[in-house]
Amino acid sequence: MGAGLAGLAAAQLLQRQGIDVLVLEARSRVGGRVNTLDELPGHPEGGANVIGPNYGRVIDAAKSGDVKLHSPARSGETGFIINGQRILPDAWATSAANPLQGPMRALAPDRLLGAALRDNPLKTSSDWLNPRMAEYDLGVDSYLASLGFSDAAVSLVAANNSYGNSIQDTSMLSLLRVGNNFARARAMRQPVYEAARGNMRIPESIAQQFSGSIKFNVTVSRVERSGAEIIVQDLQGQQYHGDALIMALPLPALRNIQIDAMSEAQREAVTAVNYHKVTQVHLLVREPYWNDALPASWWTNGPLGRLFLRPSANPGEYANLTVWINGADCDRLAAMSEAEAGDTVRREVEAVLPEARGLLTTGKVLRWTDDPFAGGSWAVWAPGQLGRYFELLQQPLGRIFFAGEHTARANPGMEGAMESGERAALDSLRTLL
Amino acid sequence: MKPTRIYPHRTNARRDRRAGLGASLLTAVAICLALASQAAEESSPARARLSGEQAFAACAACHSLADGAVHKVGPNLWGVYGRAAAQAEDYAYSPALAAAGLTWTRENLFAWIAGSEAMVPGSWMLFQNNLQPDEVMSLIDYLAAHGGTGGQ
Repeated sequence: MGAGLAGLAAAQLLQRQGIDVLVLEARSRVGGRVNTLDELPGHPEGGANVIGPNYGRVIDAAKSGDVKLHSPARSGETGFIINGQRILPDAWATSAANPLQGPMRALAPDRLLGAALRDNPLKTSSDWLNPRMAEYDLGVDSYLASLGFSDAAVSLVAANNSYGNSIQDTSMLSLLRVGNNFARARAMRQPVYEAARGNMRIPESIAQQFSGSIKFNVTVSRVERSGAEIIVQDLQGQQYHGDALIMALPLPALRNIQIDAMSEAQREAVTAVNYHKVTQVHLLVREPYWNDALPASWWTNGPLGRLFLRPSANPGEYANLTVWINGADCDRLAAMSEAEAGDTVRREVEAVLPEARGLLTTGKVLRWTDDPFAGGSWAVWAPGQLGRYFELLQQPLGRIFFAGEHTARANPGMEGAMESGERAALDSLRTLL
Repeated sequence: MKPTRIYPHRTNARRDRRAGLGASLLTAVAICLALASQAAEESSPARARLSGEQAFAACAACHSLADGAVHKVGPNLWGVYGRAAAQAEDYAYSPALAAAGLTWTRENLFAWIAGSEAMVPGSWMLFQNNLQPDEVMSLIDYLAAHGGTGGQ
């Protein structure tokens, strides 16, 4: 179940081992939370975007499918908008609007977290799950305070936290884990990648090489076991029978499925872990508003979050400005229609960047939290949850196995998804031989 | 030709009735045992061991194995068994592994596959897919059979 990278990796591995595999997918496309917006100029990413040089499985999937990888185009320096006031990158350290004190003033807001992760107590990729590291399983705010971060510095980190919906509810272990992975990638001294014409080409290519069948638009409502057989039933009452099942779904999607054999404890784990709220508004930029003195990309501590410019791929083509909104700031947009949310954000961008007035049109609004098959961008681990829930969430129920980024030990992101699919595939293979 | 119809349930029921209470109890016990083993099969099905070749599926995304095949994110593993570590040509190893002075003996390969990051701190290989110890042994045999040198 699930034709995202986790499900596809599992299906491909099992099929290569001679197992008959049927993939059920609720959407009308493969890829899951990989979602290139092909309808927009330049194929911007609406979902998973960065491929680290250490993402062996993702890179192999791309290369064996003739999907070209390249480094993302550089978008220049980032400016800062603090409490509505614009600060140019060079002026940050001396700006009156810079709320930091002492030597920290020289650290740009988007570098603060990196500074906190520099002395990382985690030494291996799986240390974040090591009970010996439980002392770091505390809110990010508490950890930063213990490093001597002022309240102002903590609230700047909180403004654009990608790993939780509030900084108090984000376990420091999840940030240290990502920091450990990034540090390893940096040590390799190789670039990060994206797929030419979009990361979506990677799951598409795996699906194309997969000789089993993928059934789309199948929303599963119930999973039960009957003897050694597993029966999956969809909303239309159609049943699918198999010897083993891999459920490669994000938790919010798993929550909607009745799984008869699931224990109370496991059901609690599936229910308790929240997903990160992300709303992306993709604005098309007709011609540059930026110049040598004005950055294209901006980091704000307000409701707009971060504004990432993706340069146009070809001269004369639209560029893409992705407004990346996290956490509780998504809530006010959730109540609006898509058009209303897009226009609201576009007007707010024009208010802080009057130079862009008349150059922007709304391309696409993506509200991952409202997507019933995703429920957010990825699992966020609150303090106390890793020790209680991580193992439970991948504990098999007989021949029912669980995969997905939230079950990956070593890698985050797309590589984590494929890692988890590989693990579940090998686990299930052992019961099928 | 007339189709033959078989009614196994009816036949059994008749036999049970003839045999009386003792047989019914036996049948009940047998059904209980069958249900119990079915429940056990549902909750913890038998797990076979992966062969070395099957276990290599967990390596193959990052490592090619054929003689002369191009490196992936990890190095080509042809002839790795018995060789000094970090010696594949044209592959950029982590400084940590390059300086470790290891030889890929069976013992060292086992420790590496079981926990490379703990064995050589600062090394880059990530491997977390729960191979069982006997599967790792089979995997090492499989590697040895691909250009391996030295005593096994």
